[in-house]
Amino acid sequence: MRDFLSTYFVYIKTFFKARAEYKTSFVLGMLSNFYCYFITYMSYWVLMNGVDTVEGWDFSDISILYGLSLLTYAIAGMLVWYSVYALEDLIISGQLDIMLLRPQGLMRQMIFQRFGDTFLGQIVVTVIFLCAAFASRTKVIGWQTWIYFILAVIGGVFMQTGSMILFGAFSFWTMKSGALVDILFYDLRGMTNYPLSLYPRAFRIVLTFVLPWAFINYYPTLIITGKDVAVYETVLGLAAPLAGVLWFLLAMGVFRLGLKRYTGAGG
Amino acid sequence: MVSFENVGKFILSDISFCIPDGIIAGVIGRSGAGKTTLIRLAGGLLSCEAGTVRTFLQDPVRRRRQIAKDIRFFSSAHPSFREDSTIADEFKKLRFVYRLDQKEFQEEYERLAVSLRFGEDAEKEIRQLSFGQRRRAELAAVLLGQARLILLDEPTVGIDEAGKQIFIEQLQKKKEGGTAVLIASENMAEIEKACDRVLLLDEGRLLYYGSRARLMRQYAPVNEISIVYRGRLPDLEDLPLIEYRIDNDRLRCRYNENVVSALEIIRHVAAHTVVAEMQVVRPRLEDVVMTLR
Repeated sequence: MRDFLSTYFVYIKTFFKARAEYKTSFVLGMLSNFYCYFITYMSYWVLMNGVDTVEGWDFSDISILYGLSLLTYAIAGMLVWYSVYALEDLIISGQLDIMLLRPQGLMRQMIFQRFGDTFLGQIVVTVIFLCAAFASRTKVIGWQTWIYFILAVIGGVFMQTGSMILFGAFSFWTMKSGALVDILFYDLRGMTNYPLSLYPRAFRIVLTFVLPWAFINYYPTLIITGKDVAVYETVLGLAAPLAGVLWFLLAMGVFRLGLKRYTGAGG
Repeated sequence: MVSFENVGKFILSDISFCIPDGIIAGVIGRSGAGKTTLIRLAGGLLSCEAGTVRTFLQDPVRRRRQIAKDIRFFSSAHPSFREDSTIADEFKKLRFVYRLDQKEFQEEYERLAVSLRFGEDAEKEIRQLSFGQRRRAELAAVLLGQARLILLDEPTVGIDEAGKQIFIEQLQKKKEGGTAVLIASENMAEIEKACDRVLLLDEGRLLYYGSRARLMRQYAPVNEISIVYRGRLPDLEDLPLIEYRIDNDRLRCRYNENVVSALEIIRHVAAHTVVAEMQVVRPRLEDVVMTLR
């Protein structure tokens, strides 16, 4: 781990050095991300402004729900988004071969490949709104909840990272998997920005057991805001960090399978 | 050390050979002969369909990560460096990749920067460098640290003559340190002198594996000698020459070196005349490849 961090640090340093050559594009990239997600938050605020609650959810609940999703997405994106999206390019350009013949795990090298600096804007926005949401809560939040919150974030990062890896690994089988990824990951996950209780049961089951995006934010938010009425909600909520890790392991398994296929028939 | 035993993959079939440490082996053949596939199999970037590949006595596909620290790989088809980085930074990363000692790394880096002449470009953004400038640095990366195996796929494309010579010299130094080198190239003329052994591929079959000299004797034994003499030429009918021609005081003959040596011909001529000048022309490795069917 220490070795990983020190190497990551070297890579990040050279990355920012290279980035500094294009200060304007760096700053503009951050600002546009910040602006875009700030507007999204504001649109929720506008939506919620006319009504007190939606199915018992107020703006601070929605902020936490959306915040958990966006925060974990942005952290995962900083780590792997660019390299996973570049997997196709890495295969086509043959750079993957160079990476395969280096004495580190491929995933580690892909994380080193590029630091997703543009996601910093999203993190800043989310932290602002999360702080506001927690500050506006009248009920005191106990230390157990804080610990759970941290675990949920970690689990969420695992699940988001895993998803990026899983969908990125499709490149081993088929090039240009972009449209499918957009639907399965982005569009369906976007549904979890609203309370799942708004949707028909079938959607809830899909988002829990098939494409388990609800573990990223919905179930954790139930626990954090004390909305876990039913037993299954508490159980799924507490299982969320674990679900994230399991999903990540599954994704890594698929990635390895893809890599095997690559060396077996590729090139 | 790399060994292939009855290996089959894509076009390659029934390939067997063993390259021990401290040997530079050239993989030659026309395009499509299977050179790149052979290199990739040795590095574990492909798994074979038949037979066994062993690199350092291990399965290179399953143990790729473990053996990778002892392997350097270069392919002219793949970019080794990031476009938005600098040579200095890319080497710094390599120090971490191969866990090299800071002081040793610094010395070696500076040595390589001088000999392959990329020191001046080291701090420039790589996308601003010319192809040749990049290529010299990429080749230098292969020489970094003491690897046990260096795999090169068409390494000399795009670098100048001086650069090639320096690179070959550096490879020979590595070889003296016990490194095995596998070079695939279509243009063997430029590196053939550096090769101890030759793997001759044709349409996926290994036609020949062994020393370069023996390959020549086997596939291209006909040499040409030209001798300028003074005096009266003796009868040449005793010599088993293929053909000869005399114009003015110059004798040209073609002979099979497995039948008669250049030395025997010269001795015969020199016994009766004064030899003023002589020259032996041997076929080039490239010509051998061209004649193969």
